[in-house]
Amino acid sequence: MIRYALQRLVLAVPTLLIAGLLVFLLIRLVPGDPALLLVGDLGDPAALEQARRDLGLDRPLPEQFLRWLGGVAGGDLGRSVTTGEPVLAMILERFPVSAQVVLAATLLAALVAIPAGTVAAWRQDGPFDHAAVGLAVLGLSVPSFWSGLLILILFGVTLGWLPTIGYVSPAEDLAANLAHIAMPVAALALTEVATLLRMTRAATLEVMRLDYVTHARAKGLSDAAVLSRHVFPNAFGPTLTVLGLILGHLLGGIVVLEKIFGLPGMGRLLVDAIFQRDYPVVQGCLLFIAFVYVGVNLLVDLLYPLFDPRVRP
Amino acid sequence: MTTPPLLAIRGLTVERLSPGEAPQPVLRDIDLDMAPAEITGVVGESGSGKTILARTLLGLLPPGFRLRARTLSLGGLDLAGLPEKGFRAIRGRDVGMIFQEPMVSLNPALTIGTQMTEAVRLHQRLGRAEARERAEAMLERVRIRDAARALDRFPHEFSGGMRQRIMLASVLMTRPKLLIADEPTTALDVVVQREVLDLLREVTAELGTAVLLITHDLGIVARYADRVTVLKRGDCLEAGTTGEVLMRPRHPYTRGLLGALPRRAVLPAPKAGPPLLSVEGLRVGYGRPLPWRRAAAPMVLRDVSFSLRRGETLAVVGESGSGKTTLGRSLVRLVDPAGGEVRFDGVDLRRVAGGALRAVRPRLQMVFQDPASSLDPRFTVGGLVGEGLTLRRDVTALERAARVAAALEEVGLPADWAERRPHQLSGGQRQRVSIARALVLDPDLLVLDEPVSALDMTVQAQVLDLLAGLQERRGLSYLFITHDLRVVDRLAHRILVLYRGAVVESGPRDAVLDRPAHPYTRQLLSASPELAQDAGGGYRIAERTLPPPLLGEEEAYWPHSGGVPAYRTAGPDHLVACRHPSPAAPPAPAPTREGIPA
Amino acid sequence: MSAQALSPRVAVGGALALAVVAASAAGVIATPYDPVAVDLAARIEPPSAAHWLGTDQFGRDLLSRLMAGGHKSLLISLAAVLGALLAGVPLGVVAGYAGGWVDRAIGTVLDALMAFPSILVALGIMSVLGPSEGGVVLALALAYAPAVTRVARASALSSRRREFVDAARVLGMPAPAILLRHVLPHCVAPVGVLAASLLAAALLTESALSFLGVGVPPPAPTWGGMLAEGRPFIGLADWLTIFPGLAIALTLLAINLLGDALRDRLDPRMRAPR
Repeated sequence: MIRYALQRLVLAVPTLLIAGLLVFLLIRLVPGDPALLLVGDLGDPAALEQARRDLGLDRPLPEQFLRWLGGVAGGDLGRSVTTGEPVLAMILERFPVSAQVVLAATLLAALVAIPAGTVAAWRQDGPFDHAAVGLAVLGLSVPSFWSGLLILILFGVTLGWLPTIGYVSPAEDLAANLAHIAMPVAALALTEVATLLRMTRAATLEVMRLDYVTHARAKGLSDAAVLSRHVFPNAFGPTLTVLGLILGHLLGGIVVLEKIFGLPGMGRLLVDAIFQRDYPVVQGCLLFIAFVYVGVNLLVDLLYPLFDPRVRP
Repeated sequence: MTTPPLLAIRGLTVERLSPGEAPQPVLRDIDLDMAPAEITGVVGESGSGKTILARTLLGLLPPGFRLRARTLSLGGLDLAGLPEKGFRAIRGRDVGMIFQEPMVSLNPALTIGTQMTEAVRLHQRLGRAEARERAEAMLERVRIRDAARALDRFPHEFSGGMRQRIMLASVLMTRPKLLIADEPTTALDVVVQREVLDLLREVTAELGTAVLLITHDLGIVARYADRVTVLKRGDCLEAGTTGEVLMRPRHPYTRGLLGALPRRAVLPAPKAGPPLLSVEGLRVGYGRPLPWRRAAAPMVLRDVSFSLRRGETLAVVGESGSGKTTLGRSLVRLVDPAGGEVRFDGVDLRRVAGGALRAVRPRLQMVFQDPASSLDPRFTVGGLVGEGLTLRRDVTALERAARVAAALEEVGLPADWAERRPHQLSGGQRQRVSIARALVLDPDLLVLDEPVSALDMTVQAQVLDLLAGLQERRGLSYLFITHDLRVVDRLAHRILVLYRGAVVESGPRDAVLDRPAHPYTRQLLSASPELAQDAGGGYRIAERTLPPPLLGEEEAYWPHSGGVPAYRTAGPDHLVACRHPSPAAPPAPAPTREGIPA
Repeated sequence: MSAQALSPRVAVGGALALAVVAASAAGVIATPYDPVAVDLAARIEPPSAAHWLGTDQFGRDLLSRLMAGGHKSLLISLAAVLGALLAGVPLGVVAGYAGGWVDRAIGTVLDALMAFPSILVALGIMSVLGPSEGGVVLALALAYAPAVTRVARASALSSRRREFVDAARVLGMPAPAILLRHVLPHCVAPVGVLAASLLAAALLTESALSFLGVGVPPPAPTWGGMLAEGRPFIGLADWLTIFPGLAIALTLLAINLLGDALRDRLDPRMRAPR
């Protein structure tokens, strides 16, 4: 098992390196003096020259890349052009907020969609199935930022039940925290319930066609027993894989929701940085998210053997 | 019968209901009786309704099917009106079922032990420990070694044959009154088939379980079934004891089925002269091993040598993992051999390239195993057959159409079927299209990879007749890859027996089949049941009587024990692989030399 | 097979799609009011007989703006998907069929690109290019090309294993001919299904980008941009939030319904035995 984990880890390295290269090249594509972009207008040409040498911007491009990589490995993602703070610190401050919302949304979506999808497949073409599939299509078609706005209007403004903007850390006040994230989580979860439900339904239908399910029924097991012991564990594997992808969607969707609900998360940081032309922050955010995404998929890969013994080394 | 039958069926009709259409009968007025410890074979080709019969007895009919019967009772219990709850009570306890595909019949996510004890714990309320003990005892009964540890392992850790035995043990644990076996050994190798079926007969006789054995293979029915029912398109055409039905088949369909069994035929002699194809020392490996591992890397094919003359059929016989498919593929250059020499009519097939390769390719063609997969469903029949000709710039479109029409007629299909698409044709018709596709290029040699294994018996016979006729008319040579020794009887001049990548025996058909020298060949022969026709026109199971073995187990060469085979002569042109060269006589030359006497 | 009666899904999806396309097409030619004309006398009016969907803070008729904004969003999304297909299909088919190091090289780069959620790829590229229509198309095409490549590759791999490809090789067909005649046509179905869902994704992302202000530059009306403009007026003029979002949602619904119908036609494996 350790070997399998190490193997997967090793395979992730080239992906991350190339992702890093893409981010690096992206910023270099911006027209203008790289020193100005990465350091900002210091007003003093001499200081700018010094900064250029410090950052190695006068060296050939491959060497720059390696230096930058070295810095990244050490945790140095540069400094923000607007505030001067270290980028990594800014990200680490904001990331937990985004992470909390995304994780909560995923959990909520999974708790609703997975059982619903399984039952819908088991009673294919029944009333529950039709309803579930219909609702899923609707859910897929509603953009999360629109549903976020609508939920905001209903619960935040019209009914006044929940605070519309801002964020309170759970360490400080759990109830207030939950009140603040309830609406964005709901908006995010809505779309993902739809995707997850469809995926679970499809995977379950696939498994139901296989002989061992008929065999289980031929033993006289009740429907519930067949579903839970034979169908579900085998259908869950593909669903687990999709969870990784879903996280990607959510990491994208959160960007917009943070703006709507005034959450001080990473998405907000990234978008503001784009507007302010704060390229070190843009670079840092993109890289960080890539790492998180690859990390999550790696975790999913490592969890997969739990559900499919055939893959176990 | 004096005692009431265990399973009594009278007038069973099952219909498929489609909205807006008349109900379609899938089974019509079936009568069947079964006694305890008796094996009843149900024989039919595809579409006969045999699987529906099995599902009816379990109450697992798919939605949209309706049944009615005058009598449908198991041990006195009326199944016709039984609600789902009632069926669940008897499923797994009184009725058990084993399926065809061992690969997907066991849940890959659960241990063997969990799956085996499920039914018994549900129906007989046994505790965990007790259920486990019983499971272990049952596994030992079906000869699974190390039964206690096996309970904690997963299905994918066992081979196909072992999985079927585990299924058998699992189903018989509750001592059911009736066991339904739906083509339980079709997916298994011949030798393993025999093991599983022998075991099935033994254990069910001991437990007193009645067995409904569904199969398309008359040989299996002849050897194992006490009674037999013949189904065709939902109708029961004939039923009785096996001996009766085989000796005096009444219905023409039954007689047709029996007649379709391939039999030894007298074949026209191959052409004299130098061999068309000669292969020496062919070696094929798996993928591309790293350089320092190359010497010890396992090989798919090891030192295979043989020759083939014009107008001759060489049957390459082996089970799965023998490398026979790879042999065929390496001849047509779908696979790159690692070593050895292949000469086709003087051309070195391994080194030829460019224009010379283009010139020689059409002469060596291949017919594949799966008729569904080898024809691109998006093309028309005409497009598929004529595809090879599109490369020839000297052939106009008009001429191509004419040649396609001629090829279709040659394989017995109407020329205007060129407009049809593969999904509109049956399996046998699709194989004919595959053959036409090869013929249109005027080949000298056809590699046929199990071309009839997926076909019904009667269709098989037709295709084999077609191939024999083509060989006679065109002087074609065939490299015929198969695992079915009966087909070999019908078509082959010579046989090559492959086991795990090495040639263990080769020689003329009659010599190898009647006087097999290598123990493996003998195993293959005794595993495949043979039906012989006697003077009165009836059939009976003929156990092959083989002469005493030429080689003992230790003397023979076995690929898995490593080393290099030494070939000894067992008769004219008949070679067998031994571990050591014979001390008295000088070693025989490797089985390929020009000008072997006819 | 029973008659191809128009399933409710296709009927509803088709009707919606037609409505959206018609309205957007009309939006180019003639709208009830000039979409950019300011009418300060009619600011922030709720839906009425004169203005069916109300007006915004500049007195501009909402319905006209929606109609005018539609065609831009739709065209951008279509162009993006086409771009993704043009880049992704050849790359994927070649990778799947050739295998070996070609496949691995392409695969590694793709994996790296797929490490970024598509909206972030788009954001990243827009941050470099600055707001522009062409930029959005390019950004989206690049974001979705990897998914197309994956599906095309999977299809090519599975075709390669089917015996009809072997058969063509034995006949002597050269590799490019096999790719064109046998492999490519078989990937049309899975890629087509993917294209439908990518169209929806592209529309969604384009709206999101416009909402954030990094998409198509003003003053051209876009649905996402209108949502952003309506935000300060939540509580006062909710119609400014409801209707643009509704337009997006209905269009997405149409695409999803038709895409699902397409997938079910092409993939009959969703039936399970009882």
